[in-house]
Amino acid sequence: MRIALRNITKRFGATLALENISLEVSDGELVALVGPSGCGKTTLLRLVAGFEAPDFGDILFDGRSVLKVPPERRGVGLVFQHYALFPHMTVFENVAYGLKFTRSSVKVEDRVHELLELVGLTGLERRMPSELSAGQQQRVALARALAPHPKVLLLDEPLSALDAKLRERLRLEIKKIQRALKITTLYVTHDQEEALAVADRIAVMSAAHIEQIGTPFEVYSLPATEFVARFIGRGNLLTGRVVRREGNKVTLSLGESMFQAHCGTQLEPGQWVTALIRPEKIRLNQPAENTLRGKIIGIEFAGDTLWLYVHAAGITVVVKSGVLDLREGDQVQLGFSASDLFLVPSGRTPPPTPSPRE
Amino acid sequence: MGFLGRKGPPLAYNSPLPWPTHGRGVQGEGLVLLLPLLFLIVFFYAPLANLLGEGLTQDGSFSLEFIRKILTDDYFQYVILFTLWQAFLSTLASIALGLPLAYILTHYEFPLKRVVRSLTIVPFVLPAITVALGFALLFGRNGYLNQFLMHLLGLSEPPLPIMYSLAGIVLAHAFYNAPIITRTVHAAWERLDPRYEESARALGASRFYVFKDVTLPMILPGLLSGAALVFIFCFLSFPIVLSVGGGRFSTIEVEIYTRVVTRLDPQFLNYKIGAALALIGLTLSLGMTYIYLRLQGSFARQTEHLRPRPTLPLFAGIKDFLRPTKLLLWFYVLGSVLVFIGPILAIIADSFWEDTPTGGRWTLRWYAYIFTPNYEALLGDSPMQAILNSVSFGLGATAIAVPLGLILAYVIARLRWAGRRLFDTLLMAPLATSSIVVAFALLRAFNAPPMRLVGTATAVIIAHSVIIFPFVVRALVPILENLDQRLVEMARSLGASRWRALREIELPLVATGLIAGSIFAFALSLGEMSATLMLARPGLNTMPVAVYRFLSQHSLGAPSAMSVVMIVVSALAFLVLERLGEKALKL
Ligand SMILES: Nc1ncnc2c1ncn2[C@@H]1O[C@H](COP(=O)(O)OP(=O)(O)OP(=O)(O)O)[C@@H](O)[C@H]1O
Ligand SMILES: [Mg+2]
Repeated sequence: MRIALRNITKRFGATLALENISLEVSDGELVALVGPSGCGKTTLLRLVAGFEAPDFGDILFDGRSVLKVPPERRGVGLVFQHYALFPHMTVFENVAYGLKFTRSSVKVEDRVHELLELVGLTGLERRMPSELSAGQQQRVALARALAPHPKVLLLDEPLSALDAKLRERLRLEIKKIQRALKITTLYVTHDQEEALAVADRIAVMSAAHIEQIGTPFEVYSLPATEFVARFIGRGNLLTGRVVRREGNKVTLSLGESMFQAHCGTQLEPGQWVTALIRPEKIRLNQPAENTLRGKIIGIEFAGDTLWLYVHAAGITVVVKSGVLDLREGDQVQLGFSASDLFLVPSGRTPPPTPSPRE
Repeated sequence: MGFLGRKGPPLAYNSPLPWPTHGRGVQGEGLVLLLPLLFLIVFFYAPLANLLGEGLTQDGSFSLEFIRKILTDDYFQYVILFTLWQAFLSTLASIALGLPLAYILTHYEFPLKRVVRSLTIVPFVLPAITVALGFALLFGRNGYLNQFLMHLLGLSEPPLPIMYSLAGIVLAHAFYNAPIITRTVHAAWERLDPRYEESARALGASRFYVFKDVTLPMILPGLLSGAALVFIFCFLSFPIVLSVGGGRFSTIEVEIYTRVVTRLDPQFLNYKIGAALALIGLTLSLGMTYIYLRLQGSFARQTEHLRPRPTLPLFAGIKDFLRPTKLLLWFYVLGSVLVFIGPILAIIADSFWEDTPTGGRWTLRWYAYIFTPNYEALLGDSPMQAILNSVSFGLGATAIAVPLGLILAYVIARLRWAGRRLFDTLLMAPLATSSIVVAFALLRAFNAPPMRLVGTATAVIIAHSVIIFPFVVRALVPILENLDQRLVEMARSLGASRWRALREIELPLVATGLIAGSIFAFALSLGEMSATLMLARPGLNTMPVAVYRFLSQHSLGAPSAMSVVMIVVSALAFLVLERLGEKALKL
């Protein structure tokens, strides 16, 4: 099933929840919607499910508008953050509930067992939802949504009520199941790491609109806007000024230093730009096109790596270091190549007045 | 209504003792905590035990003679069955009247919605006898409605024989109790996360199936617990049965009352019968209370991350106005306005009206009459005295019930489960005991020296305190529960003594709740009629008793003026409660 959203706009009174959103999801694809709280992710999902109607625009399933189709006939499977398992029904009854309304040659028992097996919960049929752990409840919710063979799966922050370890395990399982069933899926999360891990493509949303749609690689490495650069992954965003430009090589003044960078877009000297450098692209004490000296002012230990906060020439940068024998107060030299300094296309907002980043 | 019986998150306080210790407590704290228990034992449990004992003894030895007599006697069987039957019908009527409003409040948005929602608390503060009076004025043979219909249809006989009938009792009970159904169902419905229903719809269920499979099962505990409470209230109801039934119908309460106030009783036989009846009634109402508490327990599931329920505007254009479902709704609104507002308007109108040989005219004489100290034979006293008594009894009862209730609520709010159940039950007993029985027990326990209270104002004040006490505690427990115990611990770790922490942290935080609780207590005491009527002597009449005495002699005008006074006080109480916020007083 292909899903297409065409110029969707949705208001709640004075609140603009979605503004002119267009999005295509191809058959069997998993698209993650990420964005900060209140940016309209849930609203988008509810429009696709049919619980809200758009003020403008159209929603198409396989090219056909579904705006007039009520939720119970859209054939979508739905999983909420807090599962919404029917508390007065057993696990079996929960999973079987959607089968009540579909005609199928397969026996209900068989289908329920098939699904409980799929999510790894065989044997818990007679439990009540209150007798399950959060992770188990989540799996039941998934099994319930999948039981009536939906053509579309909608997941609204399905894992955010779980602890970090379980979240990592379950997101892999969800992805595996989604791949196996080849079911078109919209996956809402505010956790960018989760989105990078599960999605075929990611739609980064901010304040009612989509900032960028792309593969995890694209949104991570080639952020289309400053917002995306900030939201996805850890990074150093530096605001500076174009000093010189020769062909696709530019010289920037950032803080108190000058840096070399490559640029595709037209830039004029004197223009403000935002540059992104990922922590893992910065090397310690090695020759590079761009170098600067600084002092380590903070260290976070992360097992095989250290996260360093280095204060250098008026700016603070985060560095991911494989070298572990470092101490706060150490002097280090940071180096990175001109091609790793990514110039973020200027977003809708003008760059803020430059100041040493805190 | 939020009740003591409800389950909540495990309490943060985890002392192995069933009472708070706070490390080093204040000296004498334990004794203070015992005061409310002492009060309940001396003025409720002991007298009640004594009374029930009377029903179980003959010539000084244990005997089931009186119980047997009642259970085998045709007349008493009829009384008991009628009590249950009218309570059952009244519960059904309350559901029919209260449910649609719960639906409207949950699903629609309209002007003054907040006010309408808070108005559902009014039956708690509106004296039952004013409801009876309002019904007599509106639905009586000569009432406004019958007069109007006779005039309109050109009839010579009143077409609606509601007063002095079972239908009248049921309707008045519905007026009084439908708001309870509205409150409980609305609370359950609003707390029902719409995502349950949305999940069902996404799974293919149509609106009908969603309601049948998901909505209904999930609001049913709310409905049933509300219904159980209404049943208990109607089972124990006294003023309405007595006045609206007009003495033709006897329930257990009415029967006890008439037997006890019959003074020609040389062998105290009526006391024995009354005590046995009280025992039977109490057994039944305790059984129902138990069911009620069990239903309350099934409220356990509470969605933490509730998605607010979407609401629609109630008034959405003329086309929507005329849709069949909406028309049904308007019909309901009209009917409920008649039942809820009608009686009150009737009282107000009557209080300003005087019949004259040439018809009638507007007047203020009833107000002048009740505010002057003139002897009134119907009361054996002046109406003015009744007003003064009401105020002083109300103040007295509030002064006793609120501090004691605060202490007990404080203890309960910090108890873990086992201890808490015990206190809940201890407290539910006075709630499940009718005012008539409370007064009867006091009457029998304190009628001889050294504690001869019968016939004094003290007896009335104590009866009022016992009766309002459980309500006060129930109103205060949620407030104290919401008080974060860590604040006290913080204050004490910063060096405040236990008393200072109490005075400077806890009391200011619960002040609003205390004010609301006090006003509530005062309003309840002001409207109390049953116990007062049993304990009243000339000179001890209160406003509700006076209204009853006037009403039973079909004397109108003066009781209406007096009822207006009570309604104004109730309305003021309501306004203050409303201002302090609904949260300050969860019923
Ligand atoms: N039924 C509604 N009525 C009014 N406003 C709404 C409604 N639903 C959503 N909104 C508003 O629309 C905006 C988008 O809400 P939405 O729930 O889609 O955000 P979200 O991205 O899912 O946020 P979160 O991460 O917190 O779940 C918010 O400002 C929200 O307040
Ligand atoms: Mg959301």
